[in-house]
Amino acid sequence: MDVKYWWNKRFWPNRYLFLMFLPGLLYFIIFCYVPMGGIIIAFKDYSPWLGILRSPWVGLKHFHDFFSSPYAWRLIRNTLLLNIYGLIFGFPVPIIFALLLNELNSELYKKVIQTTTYFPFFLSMPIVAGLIVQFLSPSSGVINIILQRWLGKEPIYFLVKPEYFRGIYITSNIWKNLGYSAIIYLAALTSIDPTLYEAAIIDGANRWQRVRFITLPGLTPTITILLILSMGYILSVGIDLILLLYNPMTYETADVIGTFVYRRGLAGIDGAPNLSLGTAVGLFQSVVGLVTIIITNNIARKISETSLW
Amino acid sequence: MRVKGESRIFDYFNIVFLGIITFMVVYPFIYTVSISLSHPDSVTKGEVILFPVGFTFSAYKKVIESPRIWKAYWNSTVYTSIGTLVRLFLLLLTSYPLSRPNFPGRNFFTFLITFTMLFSGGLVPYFLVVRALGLLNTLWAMVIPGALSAWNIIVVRTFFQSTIHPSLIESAQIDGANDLQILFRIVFPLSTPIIAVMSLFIAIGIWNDYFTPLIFLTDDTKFPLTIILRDIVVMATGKEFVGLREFGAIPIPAQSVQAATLIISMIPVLIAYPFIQRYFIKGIMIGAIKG
Repeated sequence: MDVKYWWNKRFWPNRYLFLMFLPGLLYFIIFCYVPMGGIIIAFKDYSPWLGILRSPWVGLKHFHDFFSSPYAWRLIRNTLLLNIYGLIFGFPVPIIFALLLNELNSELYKKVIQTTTYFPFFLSMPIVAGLIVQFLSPSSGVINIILQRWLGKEPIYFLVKPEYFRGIYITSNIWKNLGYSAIIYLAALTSIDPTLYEAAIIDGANRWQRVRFITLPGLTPTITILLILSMGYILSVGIDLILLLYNPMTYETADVIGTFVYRRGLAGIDGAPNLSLGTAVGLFQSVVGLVTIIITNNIARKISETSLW
Repeated sequence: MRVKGESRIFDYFNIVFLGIITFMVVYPFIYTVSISLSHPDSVTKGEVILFPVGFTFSAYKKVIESPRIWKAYWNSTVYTSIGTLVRLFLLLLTSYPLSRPNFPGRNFFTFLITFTMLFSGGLVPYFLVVRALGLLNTLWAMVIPGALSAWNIIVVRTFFQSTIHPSLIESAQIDGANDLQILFRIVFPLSTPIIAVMSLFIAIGIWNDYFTPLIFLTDDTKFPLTIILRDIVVMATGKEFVGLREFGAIPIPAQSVQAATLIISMIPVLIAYPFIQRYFIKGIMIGAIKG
């Protein structure tokens, strides 16, 4: 296939399709693939005056610095724990919620509940953080009022105590995403053939058996896909809420890889920003994400029929 | 599904239980509204639990007087409207060729795009690219970076593939239409459902975006609502709190001002929500079933 053939038969008849695609292609090259090339500064001592190409190579220095520092383990642990707790508590809750909604006989009641619980999904993280601050305020927040007045306890400064951070983070995320996630499962439920239920009822299957043998298997592909996707993000958690709520007093449990990359790599909140270190830590995060998603996808393909590719 | 003779106990339990869950989701809003409308003394004494105690609008007055919030409102509106137009157009243009079987290199380009879901260069190189392009601290920093997402492209491409019949495109080609004409005259008019859903997703994404302005904007007058909200409702810093104690005859506690700010900032989403939520449900359905 020579150039002339390609030009005349393949490119020219489709020139308008290429024209349409060009801006999008440029977007992905500039904002996704050029930054992938920028990973080389993880192996250099980047200095803005020298530029990327002339900055000196330092090999694995930044990786070594990071992994030998006391906070590396803390960051990895915090990130993993927030994800694992998020999976243990956050993953089943919307599934159970959707199953219960599906059992409701009143369409109206179902619709009201769905519409109401879906709402928090539309709020920005600063609003969510603001609601949390309101709720947990030590002087006049409702939680501390209950603690003091009804239980006779001292007020708790929830947002400066590391032991409460994970609970606050997980709970707020469940609260925000419950309705949204439930809709995904309910959408999957609508694709289950209703005759299956009719046949099961004729065969004398009770309610629990219908859920167990029809509804749940019908949800399995969706659950599998969402699980694989969440494995790909095992080393990245949504950092917006953390950035809004954490402070040096709660770094012990709240500081994660993503917030560290932002704080040390870009913002330079404690010390001058170290772009090379930030890139190195970000690369570590990306590579682990890629590897875990490939592994989970292969496992999923072996043990079930659903996988991403 | 209702079956005669089956126990109703579970149904009653289910109705009550889901009602409690829904109340727990709604309660933070009720509580915040009540704080914002309660008499400052009642808030400080911790008397507000469910309903407002000693009704007053003083906290709202304080917030409405702040020019910063209105400026931020305006900025958010500008970013959202321009950003949605640009991003939507770009999304449709990019997705359409990928839906056409005769587009050379279609599989390669699809891979190029989906790969960005699995691996990225990370935050710092991304920031350096945006800075090198001179986008920092401009309107375009809120529009161009993050303009396209692989996920949306796949959803829209799948929609085109499944809704627009190839014979329709073929007959237009026989009539002498080129691909641009086909896109604008045939594909777009047939795709209004996905266009509505996508523009809403994009708009809400920009309106709620907190991280993009945090890293790309530094100028106080350019901040959108999300950044101003952080200052007021989370950090409790900012001009809104200066002279709070001296305001009017009664001192307003910071919590009342924060609550009023939260409610004011939620109003646009609250107003739009009843109209847009069904489109969102539709959108998730499209993504979940066909994605």
